[in-house]
Amino acid sequence: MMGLAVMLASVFVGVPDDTIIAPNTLSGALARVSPAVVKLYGTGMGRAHGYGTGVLVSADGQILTTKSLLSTADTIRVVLADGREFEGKSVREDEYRELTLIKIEGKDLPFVTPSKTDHVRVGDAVAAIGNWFKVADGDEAPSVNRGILAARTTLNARRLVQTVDYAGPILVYDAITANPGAAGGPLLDIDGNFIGLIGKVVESADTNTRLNFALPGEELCDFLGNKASTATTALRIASDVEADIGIKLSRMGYRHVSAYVDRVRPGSPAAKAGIRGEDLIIAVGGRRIADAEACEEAVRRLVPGEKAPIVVKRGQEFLTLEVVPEKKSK
Amino acid sequence: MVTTLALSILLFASGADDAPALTAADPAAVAVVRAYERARIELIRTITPTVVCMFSKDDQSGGGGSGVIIDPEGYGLTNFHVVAGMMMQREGKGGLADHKLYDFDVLGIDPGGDVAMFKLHRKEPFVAAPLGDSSTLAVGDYALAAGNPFLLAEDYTPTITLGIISGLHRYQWGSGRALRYTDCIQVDTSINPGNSGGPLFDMAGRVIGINGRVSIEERGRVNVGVGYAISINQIKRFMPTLRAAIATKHATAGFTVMDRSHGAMVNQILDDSPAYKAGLRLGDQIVTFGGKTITSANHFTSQLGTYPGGWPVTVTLRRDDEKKTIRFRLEDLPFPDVQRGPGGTPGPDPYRQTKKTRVANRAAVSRTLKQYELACGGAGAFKALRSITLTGQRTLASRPAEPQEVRFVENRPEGGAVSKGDPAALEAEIRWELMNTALDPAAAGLRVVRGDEVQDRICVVIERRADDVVTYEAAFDDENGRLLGIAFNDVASGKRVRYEYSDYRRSGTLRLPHRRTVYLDDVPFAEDVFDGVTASSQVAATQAAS
Repeated sequence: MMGLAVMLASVFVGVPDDTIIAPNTLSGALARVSPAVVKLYGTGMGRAHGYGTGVLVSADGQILTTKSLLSTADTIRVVLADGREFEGKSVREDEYRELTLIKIEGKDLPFVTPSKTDHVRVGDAVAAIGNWFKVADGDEAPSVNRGILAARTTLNARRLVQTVDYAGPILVYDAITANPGAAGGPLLDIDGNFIGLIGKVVESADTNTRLNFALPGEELCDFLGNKASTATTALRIASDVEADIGIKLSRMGYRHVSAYVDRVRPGSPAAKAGIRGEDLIIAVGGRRIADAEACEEAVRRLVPGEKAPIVVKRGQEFLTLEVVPEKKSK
Repeated sequence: MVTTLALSILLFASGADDAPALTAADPAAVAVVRAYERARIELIRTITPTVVCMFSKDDQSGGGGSGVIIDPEGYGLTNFHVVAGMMMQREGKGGLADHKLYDFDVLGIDPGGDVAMFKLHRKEPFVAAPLGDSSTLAVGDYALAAGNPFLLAEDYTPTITLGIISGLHRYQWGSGRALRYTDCIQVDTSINPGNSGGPLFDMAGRVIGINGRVSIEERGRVNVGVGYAISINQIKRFMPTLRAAIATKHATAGFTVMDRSHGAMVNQILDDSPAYKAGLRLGDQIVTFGGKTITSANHFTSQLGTYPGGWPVTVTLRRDDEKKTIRFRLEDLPFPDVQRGPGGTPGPDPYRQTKKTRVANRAAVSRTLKQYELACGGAGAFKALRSITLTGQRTLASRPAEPQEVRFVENRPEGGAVSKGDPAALEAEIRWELMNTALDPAAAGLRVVRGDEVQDRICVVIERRADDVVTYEAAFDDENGRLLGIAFNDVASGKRVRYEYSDYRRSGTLRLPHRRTVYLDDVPFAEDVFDGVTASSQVAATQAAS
């Protein structure tokens, strides 16, 4: 053992046989898609950065990207992968999905077409391309991050304090793309199929952390095929399931007020559970809440008809009460 | 198809033999994944002992960073900003994966490139990481980072993170206390505070960069999927002076460029700059710079930032649809203002020479000459050497069609390089002096002065100084130790005489150059091509050239 240690110490570390390194098919996929990824520049303001990413989806210069302050500007500067510059104009928008189609005057341009995503399974490798932090300039290639598809779910998110309308399907992955300038870039599977469009920076309403996600290819195809968005239905479903327990919280001032119960409606689920005025609500549905606003939000998200625990502080005591919420009446 | 499946499964496999049962349709694909996992674990095992957790000497809890050992003697690379606070004593402590702390000295610094070299002290040799070639990387390649993020490692075992190369040849402006990064490697490998100075490895365990900074915005100093490493190829040009404890400046061109139709055009030039003297003019388009085709002004600035001051570059320019190639030396860019401690208080002057830097310079001389001996045949190769006989042809540049037969017999001289007025005799004496000094590197009078590029190779230049007068310079290949050039002033003619050596081949027990080119004031004068180079342990009978 000593001899081995000395021997190891006296030489450079060995270089393992290159043949056992996993085959890298990513660079091939990138080579095919990268020419169709464009850098966008335009108006920015505050947290809305004046740069972003887009994907050419037709040879005559249609560019798919996310809707933002940048994409709604009168003119948008579009820089192609080879460094050529164009002036682009937004020609069509989808308010709900927050998608924009930008048009530049060109022909024989490299492009990719969104692919359906049913072949991609959770756990499959994905790669995201985008010009986050506008690291790339001119003909420099935008950045690439790799990860795996972590989940297929629906979006429940907010941007600062504003709830994001879109509540449709999304692809969640562990590559970090929740960065300025990333939105509008393509998400690829390992074979280079264009399976999603990187979403804008949002915070998950469930975890309060930034979500790395893409709009799946199906939604993109619908938008490009000019199919009506499912916004109205999705919104109705979302609002239909709002729950109510019949309490009113004390509101003094308007920010970060502790969740003290002001009044309990007689005969309401809260009254039945034994919640009283002056109770301080600590947790709803097993999750700690920070303030009155979070409390109201947590209550709305309870499932009507399903028993849920609510922890309150009454005097020096902590009580766990069982509440059965009802549907919020319109 | 097999590949796709393999990669999909790879993300679930834990790599150990007790990995959860995989229900894959293709057992061959699972075998590929398992083999890859084992290889990766083995790779991490081999690179782990090369990674250093860097601490300042007096206060171990007050910050730190990472480093990597690149030479069994203990030479290592880190970021300048990791050692900037240690410049008063030029000392620190480095923790290795053997759970032990070792003292290190801070050697050379490259504040403009955010690189510094240190040397760990221990009797036994260290495990060192080999250096890679960052010019061969592709976006999508896997890249491993090793270091001590958040100073997590209480026992100094490094944290390993894996990701891919997200971008290449990136240019990152310096701002505030962040230094400028040129032509750097962008990775999605997690790089966090404390990773600074640590190595970025390719999947063969070669160092391809030094992790130094991250893009941060809105979320504080944590990984947001965008890390940057200084490319190892840039660092290689600074290595000769880093080892010799010299503070090295970056280069400035003496001209600036602006974007013009997929290229860069000279829009300002100083008329006393070497570039101007070499023939560059306002309006010229820079087609290539240092062998790289220049696509934009930004690209040019990024490439320029990878050179030390005084470095020779070849530039192809276009003027009125005509191409022309020129070669000149870049000038020095002043050091960035780094003499500021936390809160803007003046810090120690990192550029002053101390006893430590002089000791390090002597060690660098002795290392270079030892390498030279190894390159010429192995340790002790020069010991028994008494004479060298060279036979071949000499072609004068003025008479290219008339090669002459030549024969030189050299016996080991007793003294050093003493000849005055005879360049040919002096050249032979210098070579012998270098061989003699290789046997006793403690001999005074030599020191490393700079790095250089000779015959497209990165060289360490050693200067011989006697009575405060430089008598000669010798350039050795920094990677393989070969003597590539000698230069001195000829007293009689007042010309700069330069010899270059190439075509190293085995001749008996030694490996010696078979080609020698002579330049007078950088103009080719003669070329010797030897078909017989005989090294002998016997004194040879001196014969005049035929």
